[in-house]
Amino acid sequence: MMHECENGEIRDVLPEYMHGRHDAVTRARVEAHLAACLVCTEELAFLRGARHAFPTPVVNVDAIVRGLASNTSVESRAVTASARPRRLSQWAIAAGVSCVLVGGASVQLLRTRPPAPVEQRPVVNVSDSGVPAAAAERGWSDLSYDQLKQLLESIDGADPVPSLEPTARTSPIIVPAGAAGHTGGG
Amino acid sequence: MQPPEGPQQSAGEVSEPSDAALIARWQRGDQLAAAALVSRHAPALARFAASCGVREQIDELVQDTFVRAFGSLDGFRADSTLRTWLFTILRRLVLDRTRVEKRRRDDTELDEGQAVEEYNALDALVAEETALRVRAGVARLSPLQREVFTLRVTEGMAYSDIAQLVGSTEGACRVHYHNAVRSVRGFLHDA
Repeated sequence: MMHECENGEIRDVLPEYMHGRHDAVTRARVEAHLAACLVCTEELAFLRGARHAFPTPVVNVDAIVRGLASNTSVESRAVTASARPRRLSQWAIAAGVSCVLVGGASVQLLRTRPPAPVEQRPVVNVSDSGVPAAAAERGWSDLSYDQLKQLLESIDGADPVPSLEPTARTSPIIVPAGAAGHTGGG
Repeated sequence: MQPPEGPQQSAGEVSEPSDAALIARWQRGDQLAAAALVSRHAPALARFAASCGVREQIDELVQDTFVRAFGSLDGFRADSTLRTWLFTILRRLVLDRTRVEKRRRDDTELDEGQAVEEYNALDALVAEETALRVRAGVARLSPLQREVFTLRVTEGMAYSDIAQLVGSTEGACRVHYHNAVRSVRGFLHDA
């Protein structure tokens, strides 16, 4: 017949006491209770017996360490350890700084770059239909209504599908006069 | 009165390098640090494996635990101790092995009676009567009760760590522990 101890707190920490996990104050408090409580003393005796009922299997520490060394190389340890986050953060910082520098330089370049002279703008000859190429130089918004209409008509009239058949080219073979009699000579 | 067993550590006293310090040394290639870590934790892991019913190749199981742990140290959360983390990995390995063995044998799940018979068959060869009875009593517990009881009694693990390990709450683990104690003591008393 087992009786219950009213001090559930002490009974609850008996395993820690058995394993010596308590500080001096708590240990003294537990021992003071044990000195007066037969129920908890019996339970502690039971716990000690139960603890030793499970003997520690023999483990070969050296073999485990060897297996550990062969399964996890030094290189992987280094990567697994704090090196990887540190490298990653360094790369991240370098990439961020590079982006800021390139972006800032680009913005600065665009601001300080003088506008391209009108003469250097690409001239687009849309067609030979009389739309003045100079209109492109001034910009399409400067075209008059008639010029714009003429341009659209010329675009509509253009053949969108180029001919697949190449046009025959007959180029005359010009043989230098002095070379005719010397072919094959050496 | 018998003094408490185990290391007598007062608060703040540091006599040996911490697990974190040993891990850092091992990562730099110090094999002695690895040996120290294995020596520190392997016996408890082996004991826990045995209490879970593992009878063969415990060395291999413990080694797998260390390999997996050190191979994925990124997954190690600082809010738990290394030992708790190792126990968590070992527990998963034991469960995996148990499932594989069950499939291999095409057997149904062991009931409590079968577990007791396994313990008896093995322990009758070597164990003393009291220890045998205790193990038989523990074998009658539910798997979760057995785990909580074993971790608490043989390792002195705190409820918070056990709860984290078995995926439960501290309160539930406390109840499991006291029910287990009551059950095993009752079994010993009736036997």
